Amino acid sequence: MNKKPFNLSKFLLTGYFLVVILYLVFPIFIVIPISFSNNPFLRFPPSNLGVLWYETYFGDSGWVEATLLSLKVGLIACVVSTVVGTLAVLVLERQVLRSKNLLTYFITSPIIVPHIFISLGMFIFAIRLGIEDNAITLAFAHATIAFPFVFLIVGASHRQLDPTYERAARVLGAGPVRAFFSAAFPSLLPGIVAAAVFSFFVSFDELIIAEFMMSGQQTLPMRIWADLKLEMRPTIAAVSSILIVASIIGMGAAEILRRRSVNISNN
Amino acid sequence: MIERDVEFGASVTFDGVSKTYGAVKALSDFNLSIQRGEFVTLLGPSGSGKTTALNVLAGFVDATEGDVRVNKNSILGLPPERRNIGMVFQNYSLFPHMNVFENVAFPLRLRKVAQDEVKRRVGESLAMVQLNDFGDRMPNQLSGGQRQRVAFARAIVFEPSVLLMDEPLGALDLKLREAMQLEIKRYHKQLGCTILFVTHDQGEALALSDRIAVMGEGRIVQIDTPDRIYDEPNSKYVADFIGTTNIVDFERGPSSIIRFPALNAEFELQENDKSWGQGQNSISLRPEKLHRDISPSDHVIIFDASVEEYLFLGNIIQYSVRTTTGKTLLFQEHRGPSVPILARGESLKLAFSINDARPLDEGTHGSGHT
Repeated sequence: MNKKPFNLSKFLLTGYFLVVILYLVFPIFIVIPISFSNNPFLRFPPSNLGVLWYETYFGDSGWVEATLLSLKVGLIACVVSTVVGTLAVLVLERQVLRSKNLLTYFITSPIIVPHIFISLGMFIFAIRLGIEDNAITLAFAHATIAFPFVFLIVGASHRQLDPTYERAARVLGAGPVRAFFSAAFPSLLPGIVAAAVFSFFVSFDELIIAEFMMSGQQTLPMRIWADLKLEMRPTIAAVSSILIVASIIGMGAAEILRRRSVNISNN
Repeated sequence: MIERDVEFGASVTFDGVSKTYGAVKALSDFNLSIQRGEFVTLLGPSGSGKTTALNVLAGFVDATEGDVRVNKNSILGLPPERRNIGMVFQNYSLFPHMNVFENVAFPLRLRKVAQDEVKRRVGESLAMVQLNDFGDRMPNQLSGGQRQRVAFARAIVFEPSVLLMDEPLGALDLKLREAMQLEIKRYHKQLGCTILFVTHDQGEALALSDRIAVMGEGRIVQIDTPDRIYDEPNSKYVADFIGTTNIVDFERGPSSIIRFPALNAEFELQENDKSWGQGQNSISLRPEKLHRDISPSDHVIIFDASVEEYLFLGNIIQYSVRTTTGKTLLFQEHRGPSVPILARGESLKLAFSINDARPLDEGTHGSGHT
């Protein structure tokens, strides 16, 4: 008989892989089932299955307003950071700059600087200008922390570009702008979309800066935090479940787009 | 097939063009005149300046010095899109998100050609490269050879004044490359366009070109027709780069004696050959110019050797032979009923005519590759 010998290293690797995956998705396994219980408290495992807390979420104007505010802030932050981040990539990747490395560190620094410091700085700045507690101010603050991610994601796409495509467009008769949009932009677009989705969620999830900047209105993370501190009701599980599903759909769509473009340009 | 009433080729002149990157001279005093409708190849190893010359003409690289003229008009002040030059790249550079038709139509759309005319001309160009029915395909649905043909159709559809080809066959396998060489020859004949071709493949250059410019260290070492480049290389560099050859040193003895120490043979120059090899000290001797059945005469040098190894190349046998002083030479023979294959270790007398030996300069213009 042709029996495969027992492979210890493969067994250990598979085991390790399963443990890590389980650890990463564990919160989802907890949160989603809890959200479908009709109990008045967060309890695991859930009993009394039902959609009570989803009804509570959609029926409570405070929750809905918080969600709408977060969507608004997220969309503005997404547009601002995607546009500015993409432009930064074009300048740094295409111009011969002596300060390129320095600028790159500078651009990516918001990833490293603790958000609490960024929040404090932003807050003081906003108060000086009298624009605190304002959705647009918050969106621009969020854009600063989303911007480095856009820069890194779009920059990675840009380094995959073959410059001969744009050269081909130039000799065929296109000016520099036209050549960029017909030869480079279509290949960059999936990276830009992925960056946009990502930057939206950076803002949508953000709590610390929002806590500093907003006093009257509440974003969704602020509302969740406030609720958690007070009563720990399963509405939070319902909200979290909705967010998880929305994130999976958004990220999945971005990934599909990205793969499709890789397939096209690799052939 | 379409035949053109008007040839769309232009003449091209590089006039003392230099390009320096910091301390590196990519091109130095590069001069080249290409006739209207001529097929000229820039041949050289990477770093010899051939691609830089092409990019200066296309407008991607600014010349440090000198001028480039198309039909006697300087084009150095124009951006690439206003030079009306066609270009085919090694990676085809078809736009992946456009189908074949739109790729070929792209330069016409930029020139605001009317839709009917676009259809007609794209159709003609695709017919020329025998891809009439492929208009709806996306580039990733085509083979490498088909993509290169689409790239060619796109480069000529707007009747550019010059067609540049930058190692266009480099990504194809050998069989396809040979088939595409014939295709390119046919296009050139049919269109009558001026072509500047860049390659590091000497076989490709010999097969395609009207003239070959062999490049080394940013300048032209020799420019001539393929047969003359092959038969009469002017330097060790060219002799070594084109085909296979034996480089054999010689020295001058007293009274017109030419001595080949490695062959242990010598030769007396005739009265009218006195200037032969003046100021030079080596010859290029093609393997097929060595023979074993030449009768002694004034022009013939004979030396002893023994067979070290041989390669069977189909209709040709290539021997590597060792002379009595230990130098290894290549020697080729066509097979035939009266030409028995020599065995390893077999001794033989080899001969060549002094007229087939090409005296060489050490290198030209300081291109010190040997």
